Amino acid sequence: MPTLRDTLIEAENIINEVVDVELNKLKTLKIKKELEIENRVNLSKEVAELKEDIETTKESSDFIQLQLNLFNKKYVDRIEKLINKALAYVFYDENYKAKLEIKDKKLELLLEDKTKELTKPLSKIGGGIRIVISVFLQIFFIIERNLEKLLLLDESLYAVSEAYRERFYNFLKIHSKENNFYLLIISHDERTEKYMDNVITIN
Amino acid sequence: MKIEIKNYENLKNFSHVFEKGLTQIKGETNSGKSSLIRAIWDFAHNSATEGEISIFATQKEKMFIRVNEDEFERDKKNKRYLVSGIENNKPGREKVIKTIDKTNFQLQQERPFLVGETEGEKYSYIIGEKNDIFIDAITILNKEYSSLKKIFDIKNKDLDRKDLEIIKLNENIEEIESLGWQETKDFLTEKINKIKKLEEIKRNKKEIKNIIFAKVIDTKPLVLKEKKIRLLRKSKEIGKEIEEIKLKRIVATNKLATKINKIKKLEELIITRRNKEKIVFKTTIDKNAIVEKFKNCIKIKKVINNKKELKEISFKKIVDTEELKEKTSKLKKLIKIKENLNSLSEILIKPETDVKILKEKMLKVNKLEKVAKELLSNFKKIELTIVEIKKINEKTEKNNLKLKELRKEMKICPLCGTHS
Repeated sequence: MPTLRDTLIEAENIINEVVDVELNKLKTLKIKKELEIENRVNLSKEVAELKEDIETTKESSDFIQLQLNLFNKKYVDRIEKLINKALAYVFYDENYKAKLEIKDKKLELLLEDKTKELTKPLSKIGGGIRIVISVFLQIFFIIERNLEKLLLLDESLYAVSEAYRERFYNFLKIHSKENNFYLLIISHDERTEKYMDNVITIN
Repeated sequence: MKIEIKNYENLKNFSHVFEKGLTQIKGETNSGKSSLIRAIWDFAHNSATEGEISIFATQKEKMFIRVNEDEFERDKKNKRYLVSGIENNKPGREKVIKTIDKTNFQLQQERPFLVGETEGEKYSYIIGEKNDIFIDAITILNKEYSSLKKIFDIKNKDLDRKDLEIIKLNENIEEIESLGWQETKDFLTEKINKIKKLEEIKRNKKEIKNIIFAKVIDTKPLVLKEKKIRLLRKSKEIGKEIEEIKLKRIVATNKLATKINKIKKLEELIITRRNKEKIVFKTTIDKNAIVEKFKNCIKIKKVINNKKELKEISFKKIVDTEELKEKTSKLKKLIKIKENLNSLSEILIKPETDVKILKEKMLKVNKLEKVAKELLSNFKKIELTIVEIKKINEKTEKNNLKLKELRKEMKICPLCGTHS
C-alpha cells in the first residue's frame, strides 16, 4: 500500500510527463514560429532585397551598355564626318559615303555609292578611294591620339587618278595647315610638284 | 623641324629644315628617299643600328624634340636623343610627352592604313581602348550579377528547405496532439480520486486516535498529563508535517488543475478542429445537393419568370382587345360616316356627270348643226348650179340646133365641117 506522499509523487511524475509532452509541443511550436519568422519575414525579405539588387545590377549594366553604344556612335560619327567631307571634296562628281559599322567587337569599314546604290567593304574598292580614306583616317587618329603631327607617305598616293589629284592635294594642304601638320610625301612624280608647299631633292 | 642624318643606309650626309604643310621629297631611285622615312621611324623607336640621326625643333615648332638648338649641341655629344620628346621640366611649365607610331607612317608597298586589316584589328585600333572603362564596368557588373544570382539561388533553396521543415514540424505537432490526452487525463483523475480516498482514511484514523486519547485521559488523567503534552508536541509536529503535506498537495492539485484545464482547452480545440473538419467534409458532401437545389431554384425561378411573362402577355392581350374593340367601334363609325359621305357624294356627283354628257352632246349637236348647215348651203349651191347647168344645156341645145340649121344653110357637113 503506497503512502499518500508516494501517490502524490507518482501523480506529480505523471503530471511532469504530461507537462513534458506539452513542453515538447510548446517547444516545437516555438521552433515553428521562429522558423516561420526567419523564413517568411527575414529570409523572404533578404531574398526580395537580393532580387532587387540583381535587377539594379542588370539595369546598370544595360545602362552602361547603352551609354557605350551612344559613345561609340558619336565617335564613329566624328570619323565618318571627316572622311565624308574629304570624299565629297575630292570626288566632287560622285556620291560616296563612308560607313563604320560596329558589331560585337568587330568594325567594318564600308563605302556606299549612292548613285549606283551599292555598298562594298573598303578592301574591295578602287585604290584611289582607299588611299584618300586611309590618309584622312591617319590624320584623324593622329589628332585624336595626341600623336606628333607628322605624316610620312612613301610613294603611296599613286592610285589617285589624275581627274581627282588636284582636289586631293588641295584638301590635304588645307587640312595640314589647319592642324599644323608636317606632311612628307616621297614621290618622283613631277606632276604633283605644283600642288606642294615645298619640294626637296635628295642626291 | 631640322633633320640631320649621317651614314644611315644610303644617306651619307643629309640635313634639312622642314616647314609645315605639304613637302614632296624627290630623287632618283636608290638615292635614299625611303631611307629618310626609315631613319625617322628608327629615331622615334630608338632602333637605329647605324649612323647618327638627329631631329630637333625650336619651341615655337612644338615638335617632339623640344630642345633648343643650344641644348641640342650639348646632347649631341651623347649621340642619342629623346624619342618621345620632353618639352622641358622648368618650374611652372607643363611636362609634355608626345610619341609617333604606325599611324604616322604609310610605307612603300604597304597596304593602306586600316583598310586591309581584319574587322577585329580595326575594332581594337579604333574603338578598343576607348571602350575599356565601360567594358570593365560591364564585366564587373555582370560578375556581381552572377554572384548575386548564385546567392539568390542558394537563399531561395534555403527558403524552400525551411518551408519543408515547417511542414515537418506541423506534422510533429499533429502527432503530439494525437498522443491521447484523454487517456492521460483519465489516469490522472483516477489517481486523484485515490488520493482523496486516502485522505478520508487518514481523517478517520485521527478521529479514532482522539477518542482513544480521551479515554486515556479519563482513566489516567494525572499520569498521562506529561504523556499528553509530549503527544501534543508530537501531534503538533505531525500537524505541521500534515500541513506541509497539505500545502504540497494543494500546490500539486493546483498544478494538476491548471494542467487539466490546459488539457481540456486542448481537447476543446481538437474537438472544434474535428468539428470544423466534419463541417468542411459535410459541406463538401452537400455541395452536389446544394448545386442541385440551386439548379431547382433556378428552374423554379425560370418557371416563375415565365409565369410572370405570361401574365404580362395576357394582361397586354386584354388591354389590346379592349383597344381593338374601341378601335373597331371607331372604325365602324368611321365606315358608316364614309358610306354616308359616299352616298352624298354620289348624289352630288351624278348631276355633274349629266351636265358633262349634256355638254358633250350639245357640243356634238352644235357640230352636227354646223355640218348640216354647211351641207344645206352646199346643197342649195348644187341645186343652183344644176339649174344653171340645165339652163346652159338648154342654151347649148338651142345653139346646136341653130348651128345645124346654119350649116345646112351653108352646105357644110355637120359632122366633119367640110364643104360638101
